[in-house]
Amino acid sequence: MSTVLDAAFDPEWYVATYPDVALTGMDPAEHYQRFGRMLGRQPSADAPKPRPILPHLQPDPAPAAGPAPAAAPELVIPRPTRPGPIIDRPAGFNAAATVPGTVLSGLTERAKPQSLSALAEAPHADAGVLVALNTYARLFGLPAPGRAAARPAGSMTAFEPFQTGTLRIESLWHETTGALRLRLTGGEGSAGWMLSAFQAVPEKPDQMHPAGDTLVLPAEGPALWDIALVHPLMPVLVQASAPDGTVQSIALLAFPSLAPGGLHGAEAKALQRTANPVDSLWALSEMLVREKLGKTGGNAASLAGIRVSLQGATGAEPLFAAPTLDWLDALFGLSVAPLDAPGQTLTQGEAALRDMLGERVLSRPDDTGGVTLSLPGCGVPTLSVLVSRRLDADLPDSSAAPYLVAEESNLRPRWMVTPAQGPASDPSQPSIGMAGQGMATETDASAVPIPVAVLFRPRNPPHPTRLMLPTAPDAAEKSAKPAKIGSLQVILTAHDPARLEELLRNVLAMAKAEVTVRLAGPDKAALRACLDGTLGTGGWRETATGTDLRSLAADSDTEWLLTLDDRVVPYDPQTLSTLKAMLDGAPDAASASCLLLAERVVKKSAVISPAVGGLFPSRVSFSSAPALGFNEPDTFQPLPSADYAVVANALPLSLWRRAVLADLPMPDGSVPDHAADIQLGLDALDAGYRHLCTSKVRAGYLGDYVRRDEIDPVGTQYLRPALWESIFRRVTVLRELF
Amino acid sequence: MRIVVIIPNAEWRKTAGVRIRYERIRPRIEALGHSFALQPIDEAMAAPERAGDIYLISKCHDVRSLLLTRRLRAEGCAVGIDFFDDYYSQTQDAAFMHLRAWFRMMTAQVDFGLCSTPNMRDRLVRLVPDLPLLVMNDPASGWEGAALADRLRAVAERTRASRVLDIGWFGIGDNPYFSLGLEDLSAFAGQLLQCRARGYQPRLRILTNRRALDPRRLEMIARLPVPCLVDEWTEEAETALIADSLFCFLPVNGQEFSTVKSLNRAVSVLAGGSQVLSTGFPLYQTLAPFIYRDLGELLDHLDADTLRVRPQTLADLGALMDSLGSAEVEAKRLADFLETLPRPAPHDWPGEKPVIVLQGSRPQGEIHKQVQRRGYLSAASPRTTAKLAFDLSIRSDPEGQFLDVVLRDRSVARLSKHWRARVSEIAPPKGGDPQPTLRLTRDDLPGLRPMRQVSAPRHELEEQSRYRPDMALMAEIANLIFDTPHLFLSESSSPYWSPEIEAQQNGAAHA
Repeated sequence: MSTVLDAAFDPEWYVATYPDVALTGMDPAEHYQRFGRMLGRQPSADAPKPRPILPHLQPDPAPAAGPAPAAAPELVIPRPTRPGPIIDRPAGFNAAATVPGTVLSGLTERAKPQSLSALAEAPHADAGVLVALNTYARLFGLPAPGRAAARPAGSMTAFEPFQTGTLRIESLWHETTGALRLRLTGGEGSAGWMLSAFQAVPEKPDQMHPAGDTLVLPAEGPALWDIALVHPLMPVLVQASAPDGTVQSIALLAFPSLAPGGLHGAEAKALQRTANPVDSLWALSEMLVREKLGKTGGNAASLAGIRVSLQGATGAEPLFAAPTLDWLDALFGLSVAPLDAPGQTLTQGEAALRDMLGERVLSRPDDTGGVTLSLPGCGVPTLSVLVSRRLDADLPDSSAAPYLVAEESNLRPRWMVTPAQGPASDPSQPSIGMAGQGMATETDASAVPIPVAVLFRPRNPPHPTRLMLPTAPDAAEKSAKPAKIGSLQVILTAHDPARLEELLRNVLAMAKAEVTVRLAGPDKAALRACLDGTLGTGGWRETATGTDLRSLAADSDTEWLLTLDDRVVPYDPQTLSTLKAMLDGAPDAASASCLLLAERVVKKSAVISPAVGGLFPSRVSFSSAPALGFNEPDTFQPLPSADYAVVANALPLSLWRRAVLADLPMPDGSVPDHAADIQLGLDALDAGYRHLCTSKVRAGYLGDYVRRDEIDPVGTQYLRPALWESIFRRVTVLRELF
Repeated sequence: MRIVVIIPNAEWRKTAGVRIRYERIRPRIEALGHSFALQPIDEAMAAPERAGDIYLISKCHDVRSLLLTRRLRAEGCAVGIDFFDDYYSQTQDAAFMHLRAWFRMMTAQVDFGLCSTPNMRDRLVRLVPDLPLLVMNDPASGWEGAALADRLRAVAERTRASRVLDIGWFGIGDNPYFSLGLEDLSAFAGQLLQCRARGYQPRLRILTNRRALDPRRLEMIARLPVPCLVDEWTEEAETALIADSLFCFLPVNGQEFSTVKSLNRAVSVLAGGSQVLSTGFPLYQTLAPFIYRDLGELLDHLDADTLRVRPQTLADLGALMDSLGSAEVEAKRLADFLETLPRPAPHDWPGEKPVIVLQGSRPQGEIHKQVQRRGYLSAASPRTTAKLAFDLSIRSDPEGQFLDVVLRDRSVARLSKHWRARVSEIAPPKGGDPQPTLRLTRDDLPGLRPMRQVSAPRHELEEQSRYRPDMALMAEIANLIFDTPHLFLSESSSPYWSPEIEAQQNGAAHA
């Protein structure tokens, strides 16, 4: 770039013409040299405009010998319709008081709301533009505002002009929780069109307020437009008008919270069916509107009520916010009632929430009966469940149902969780059922085909102390002493003599145990000496590392069998007794385990993080032969405090019913060590048993735990596609939403 | 009465809490004929003579307050605790185990408690039903009514004219254990959107501490539904923010920690000439006539020029403030309450028995030194990493055949006679001067087993696994060789907990 300033440069004219220059605090000449010339700005009133220097957008200038190039087209920058505070600040405006993004001028007149009818009465190009208004009216049960409500075939939201016409919404997302940002493209045909957005508040859905500023579409290039929301969840009407004021089209964003960054962004992500997320969003919106208006599903059941568990709720969760409750009431006729039993001890905060919800429910007619959705406090119902008219009217009292997990602070989608089919028993997970059906049994539990809630979880694991001990030891000590396990066979994998003595002392405090040891460490003599010292010579027996657990189980007559690795630290005395209690409470469960936390050294400091919480089906493949994959995902975020069913429990720590293990048929061929637990898990599932895991108690694992993610680790001969459905029905399926 | 408030250290005198809670009532207490002094706990520990006859422990959550309380009560002084925050009722939370243990041991000894809100009193009554409690409101500072009236009028007129709502939020934005501050602002700010439907544009200004502005919270602020400006909190900036805002937004979540906080923030806003909009938990219910719970109502009142805090209502607001936090009233109530308290009977403590402070997971050198200066013994447990001149420490035989109790001369002198005779000079295995050592075998201690030192780097999972059994064994050793001494545990971190030592301490307190 030339460092010689144009002789014609007029600093005063330059500063006056381009007010943003003064705000930079730079010398005008320096500004021009560094930026102005590149932007194609004139150095003075008389000088010709230089060609903007945009190497990636503009071809190289023509050779100097050729004819003088025509004046370069002016760089097209979408302009805000209202002057922003940087370019056109009003005289006397105090820059020190500027808040970025705030429009401060032109607000002395209060913007008046318009009725739906007034919007419909505006001159419009054809009757088709009224479809969106009429659809909006039907959503709220309002009279149709337009007389000639011709409906384009196949559409209720009249979004086609914004999908395929000259004006397109290429993408949209929540820039903030109060602003929906649209990226628009249009051709010459829409140049100069004005876009306006309208939104109502739930109390007066027929009164449409202007949502932000009007945008005048540029002749070229994309435009970014922020719709300043009046309400975070209410439908948005977007109106495009020609410069003469004729309304060209109106679109209905029935559920703006489906856009990325919105409360239901995870739902749109989980249900995305096309490569283009915006197309998928329109399709989903269309489907939801149709369902809401009863065009499909006929006479089947709809959601009649929402119950929320107040345990641990603080009122800061989205479900308890007044805008959410008002919206549920206005659009779906649903109220939220406390789930917790009368007389249950509540904290002051929980009691205040109960009272707040109670006041709202009292103002509504009784809604008992019908399909009820039960939620933990951190959840909100999905739009799919809110509009669905296809819920099974034969649902039992309370069935586990699929749900989504998003990050609490930014609403980013993370997981879809599909619990094993069966009755719900854990208030930390959503459930759905027919109120008043009595206790459900597993056999009458039906599948719920749609995600019913979005749960919002913190992005990071909690403080290490809370991660280690979800229940404080002094509280646990008061509630119940750890129960003795009774007769126990321990299959111990030993690597390090330094750990063995402590580990065995901890375990033997819980139970009288037979100990069988697989010597996996390099110094086997030291391991043997340690075992002799701790258990006495003859107090333990040695077995080869590859020995199948079934044969070891068959050689014993204890009630329980514990697989244990000496890298495991059972630091919580409640852990083993909790696993036993899980098996006691589930006669069809073959094994139980818990979340293992890994402790590893990073820069001389120990770092604790969730390591493994069971094995899950991860994917299916038909690339060569039918095959099913398994993995060990980070279960902490989707299942931070839950009991759940898995394909198998990892062998470093799992408690088994010994007899079940002993009765399993021996495998046909050899199974690699790293897949032994998967093979055992599948065999037990095939025999009709389940495997349970919990994150309500935890144990430690010293060192790095290498999570597995394997396709078909036990051989294609085992897994027949016909079996998969049965497996998926009885285990939790986790899907990460990238 | 000579009233002494024990504070954590001399620096504490400068904090806002001390200034608001104690300095405002000090002259009023003195006017009633009593003395009122603040004393750092290290000075109180070292003082040869006590400075008062009523002691109030304020924010001293360590073993020194236990030792001091035991000694002062033996001298006939009444001792109480000023409860600021609720770290005690969340019994499931492993992060506050050491504070709950402190609370249980202290409340087993003390004569009374103070707190600043009725909610906190109710919480404490559930936990310690027999402890006499007084709610002492934080006294409010004065205000200038005339200036306030002008400011209220001007801000309301400006807002109606410009249709720009100036909203303030101020406070500590973060907390290492709780979701509050900026998280609350983010969670509840959606309710501010409704002002757009009323034709107002919101403009939020945030004053908070720099530490709170980590990437996560900055993202949270960037996603707030209304435009905002963030600046660092100072007292002056807070005053200016309140004065310039139509209202301050004070959302409160319903977690146990937040529901017993004082009314200070709302009182500051009202006294500074702004409205309060508080959503979530109704913490400021006591100030209800001047608190908005709904923005719509506030805007209705703004449009009708009938805002709750306006020149015409300042007299009522002043009367309410006086009833809640007049320094004279609070001082009188405190003096009356303390005068009616029974005083404990003086008794001989510690007597002939040694006082042993067993150091836990992360001992503080200052506490160790102050304990020793007072003539008590400071003992290292195997779970202690600090290299300090302990009066007792343990060397463990890796094979688990014996344990060496390494002593200093002053601790040898406190051993019971039988064990003193067994002390011999043994050099450390890795070399060094011989030290007085008492070697214990399984014959002496049937539960003897190897006790491993803290590994480097420290493994928290192993530490958690070893802590309780090792502390129980240490207590057994101390009881054995010192013939059941006064044993105290100095533990300043969670989730480390020794129910055996806690039970022994509580038993001794009741005895």
